[in-house]
Amino acid sequence: MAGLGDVVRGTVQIAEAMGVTLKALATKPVTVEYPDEPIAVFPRYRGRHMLRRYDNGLERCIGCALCEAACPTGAIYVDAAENDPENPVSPGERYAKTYEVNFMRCVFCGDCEEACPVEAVVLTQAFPLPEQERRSMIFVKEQLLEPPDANIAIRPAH
Amino acid sequence: MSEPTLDAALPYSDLLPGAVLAVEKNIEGESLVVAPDQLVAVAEQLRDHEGFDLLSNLTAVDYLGFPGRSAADRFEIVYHFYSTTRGGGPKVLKARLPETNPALPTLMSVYPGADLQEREAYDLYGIRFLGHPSLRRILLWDGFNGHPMRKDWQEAYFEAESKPFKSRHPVGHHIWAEDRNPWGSNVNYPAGFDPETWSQPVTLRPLERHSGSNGVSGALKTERIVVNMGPQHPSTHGVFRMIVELDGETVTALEPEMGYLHRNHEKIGERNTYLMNMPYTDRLDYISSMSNNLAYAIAVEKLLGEAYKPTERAEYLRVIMAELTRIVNHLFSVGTFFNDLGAFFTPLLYAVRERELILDLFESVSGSRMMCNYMRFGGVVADLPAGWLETCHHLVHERLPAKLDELERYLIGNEIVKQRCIGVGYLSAADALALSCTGPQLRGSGVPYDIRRAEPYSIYDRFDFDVVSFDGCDVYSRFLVRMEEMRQSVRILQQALKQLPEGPIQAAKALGAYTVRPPVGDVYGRIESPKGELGFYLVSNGAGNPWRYRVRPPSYINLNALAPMVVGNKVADAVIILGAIDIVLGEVDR
Ligand code: SF4
Ligand code: SF4
Repeated sequence: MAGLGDVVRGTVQIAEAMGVTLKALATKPVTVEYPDEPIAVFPRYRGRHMLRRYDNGLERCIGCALCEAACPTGAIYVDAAENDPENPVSPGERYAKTYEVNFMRCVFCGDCEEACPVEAVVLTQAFPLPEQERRSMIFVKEQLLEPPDANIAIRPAH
Repeated sequence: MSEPTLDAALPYSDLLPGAVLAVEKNIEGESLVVAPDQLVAVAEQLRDHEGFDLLSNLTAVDYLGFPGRSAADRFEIVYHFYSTTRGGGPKVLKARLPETNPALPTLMSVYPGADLQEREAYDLYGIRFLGHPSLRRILLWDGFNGHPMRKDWQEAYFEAESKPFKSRHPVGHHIWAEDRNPWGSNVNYPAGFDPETWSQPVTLRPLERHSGSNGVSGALKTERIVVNMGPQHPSTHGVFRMIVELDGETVTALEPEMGYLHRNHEKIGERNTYLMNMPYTDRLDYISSMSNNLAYAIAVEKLLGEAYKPTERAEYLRVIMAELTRIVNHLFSVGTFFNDLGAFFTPLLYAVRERELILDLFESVSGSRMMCNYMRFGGVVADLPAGWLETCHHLVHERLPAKLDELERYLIGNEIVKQRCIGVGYLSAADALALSCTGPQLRGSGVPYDIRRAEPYSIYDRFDFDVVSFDGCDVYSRFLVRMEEMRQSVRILQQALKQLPEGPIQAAKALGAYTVRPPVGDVYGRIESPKGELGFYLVSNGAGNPWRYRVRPPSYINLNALAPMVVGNKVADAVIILGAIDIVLGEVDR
């Protein structure tokens, strides 16, 4: 037989529990309606690669393949060629004739970015990379030179 | 590597003459080269008279073509023993085996916990452990041809010794694996193996003994049945299979089956440079990647020597990250444990909400929420962004203590939880040690062994914290250990945030050191990861990539205790006992 004390205690506990529930009703949900709303990432977020250019339009990449050597998964392929002095692609002696990133292998570790001596390859905040077939998961230089547009907001540093 | 000493000076020459063949000096001490036939006697001596009660790490190394090695001592089995009562460093035994028919006696009679690690060495190296009761493949399947960790075994697609693989782009673009290795011709079977007639044996060792009719009890004839739990089962926390034999609802025998997520992490590690392995370690125990980074960095730094000693600020940052990781892991583990208990998802979401806040901190400092790749040899990769410390300070001083109180209030005293947990999954302290358990599983059996205290690494000797242990020896104790350890982590974090000095985050020598070439030698570095003792055993031949890269995965080895804990309980309890071990299949299967 439950005594009066138990009944009171039980009622209090139920009221407490309902309190927790009601409080949660009043708070803003933490879920984001992605992709209708942009999702927020931090500035350092490691997403899709981008090859940068200088302000004068020259490509930064000098085809040194240090990023390829640093890549733990073998996702990058660089084939360098000599610059034509009349019409240079990059300010160095050489430039990357082919630059491919295989996003089926890449693990977004950021080691390529760290290895690059001229800060040519950087990881942007863009992470949505859906493609229809395997072969289009290899991004070539032209795609990588384009800044990615994605439904992303950059969070302020805390 | 080896410095032969005079015979009379060899240890144990009086007790066990001829047992120790040589004493090898290496980077962090010495190791004894023992005669394989005397190994069990030496191990008994260590356990019974010298207090080395924990066989922590057991692994094999293939020295094919290593300078100074020949076919007569191609394989080496390495054992690391620790004392949980004294703490301190390891006793290292090595046994050398010839190329043809490498075999040595099993240590299971002395340390039953050698079971899974010996099976792994057999699977990956083909070393036979004589007397092992079920020396079968464990990570790979029975139709696998050869022993992949041997140096002369080459995987079809990755024919080069080290990265970058030039053969990937011979004609100027990617070559697809399926073009090179068409399906149907990419598998070799071992001699005598026919995939058509082969079927997975379900009558495994403990099951064989028991299976069959239960006899007639009264008028009712009952029978035991064998049931597969997993690999596709929500309670196994991944692709893990338990083959259980049931008598009614009671488990009478259990055999764990694993390897579904096996990718031979260790072989990949041998082809990578030291630094390239860092992002791979993230993927071992993917809940606590920062801890994995730390353990690996510590092991490599031991190998590299003083020049790569992390700076003060880096040491603090590492401790902060490692302790945040411990909280993340325990929150997740406690949350999923309640899922297993049947409190579906509500407690988990309470726990994961706090975890998200910590992952935010990880993302803002390292760029990724789970695959952090944050540590480097001699330091860390990036300093804290603006505002990080304030957020962390708020979390550690206000939010987390309050939320831990809340979790505790909701969960610990709950009557149903107590009824389900107390006394379930009994594992005595002696058994836990004998089965090489570490981490919360060991401390939940009342053995207060924490590497942060027993053999402090990094700067853990500067912090004031308690080693948590509960002696209920059941899943409830393991759960309590995790809850209390989060509080201790918060304590460490509060101290570390207060003491965090300014300064560089990477040792001067380590800056921009992409390819490190450590001196020849071997080293075992270990930390108290949230799941137990996470160790890395590295052998260097002076090159840029490790000769041997071995992970001592805590949750894999803790699985040694699964069958002893489960047998005799109900099926539903098997689920929570497994949940309380806290396995992550990325680490178990490697
Ligand atoms: S992010 Fe890492 S895996 Fe991806 S391309 Fe760069 S180095 Fe390779
Ligand atoms: S991206 Fe950087 S590292 Fe890679 S080839 Fe170009 S310049 Fe060299």
